[in-house]
Amino acid sequence: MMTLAQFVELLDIHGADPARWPDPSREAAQELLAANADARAVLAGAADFDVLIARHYRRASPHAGARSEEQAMVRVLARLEAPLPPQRRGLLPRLLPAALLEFDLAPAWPRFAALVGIAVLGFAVGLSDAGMAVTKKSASAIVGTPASSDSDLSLILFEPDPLSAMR
Amino acid sequence: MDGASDEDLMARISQGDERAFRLLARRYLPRALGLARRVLGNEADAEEVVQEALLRVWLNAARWRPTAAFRTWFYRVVLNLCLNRKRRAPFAALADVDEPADPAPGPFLEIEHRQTDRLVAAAIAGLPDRQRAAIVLTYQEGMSNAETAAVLGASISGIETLLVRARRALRKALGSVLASER
Repeated sequence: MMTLAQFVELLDIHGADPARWPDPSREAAQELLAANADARAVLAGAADFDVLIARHYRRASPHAGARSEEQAMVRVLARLEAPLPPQRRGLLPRLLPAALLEFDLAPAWPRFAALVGIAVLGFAVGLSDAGMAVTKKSASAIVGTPASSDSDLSLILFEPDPLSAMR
Repeated sequence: MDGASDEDLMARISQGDERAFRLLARRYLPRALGLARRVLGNEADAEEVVQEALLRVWLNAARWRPTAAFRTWFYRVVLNLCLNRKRRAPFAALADVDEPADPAPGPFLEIEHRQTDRLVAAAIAGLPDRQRAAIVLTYQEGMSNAETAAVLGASISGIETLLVRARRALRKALGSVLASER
């Protein structure tokens, strides 16, 4: 049988309307409701909550303020009355329609996140041993001598030029 | 053409039929405006976002394929634009938005309803963007968790987590209102 905690979880996920509950859970929940007064009280509280939120949206719905809503619609439709821009056509959209469209209309943040992630990864690789190993190979290739040890390499890479001009 | 399905209208729009486009726009404008207004909390921004979403429908009609219901796809475009805009612009609290007049039977009841509405609006405004969007789609649009997941581009379990958190936060914020409603 469903526990009271599981029933509370069900209400938090699906709300108080049994029609929205998944079939297997509905049966178990109804058994619990028949046997447990606490479950019935929890259901009543969840129903009050649903009614409060749904009523809020119903009262603030377009139909409640039909006149201002009509005005908003007229404004948007008036802007769309202007000559519409040419539609996107061509071969590429036909070849990759769904993927392109989803990517084009997706939120901007995943692309920014990917860009930042790549930048951070590049920076981390540059600072890490892996990046340094690449630099060592490049340096030895340029200098023409194998890098015999880390200290030799650091001399090549980080030894500052003498400030001869300052003397 | 008034009785044509969304998919039929989209097929016509993809051929450049402006009349079909305006018919589809008129069909979805009220709900889309309501959705955008609830997420953005700003009438002017909501109108701009819906206009932009409709223009994208027009521009991309030839690329659209009916793999999902038009409503789901269109609401997804509207919501993505809303969430992008909210990241760019400072947030106007939903509690500050004037609610349309409610045809309540008496002045005292109307005052009471308005006070309750302000508290509910403030509590919903305090939710993170995606939780608020999930609540709007569930309670305003009456969408199932699966439909909400499709609109928000998330898994059903992800939406269930959002709804659990949102409902718990709202119940906590509205404890006194719920107690007085009983």
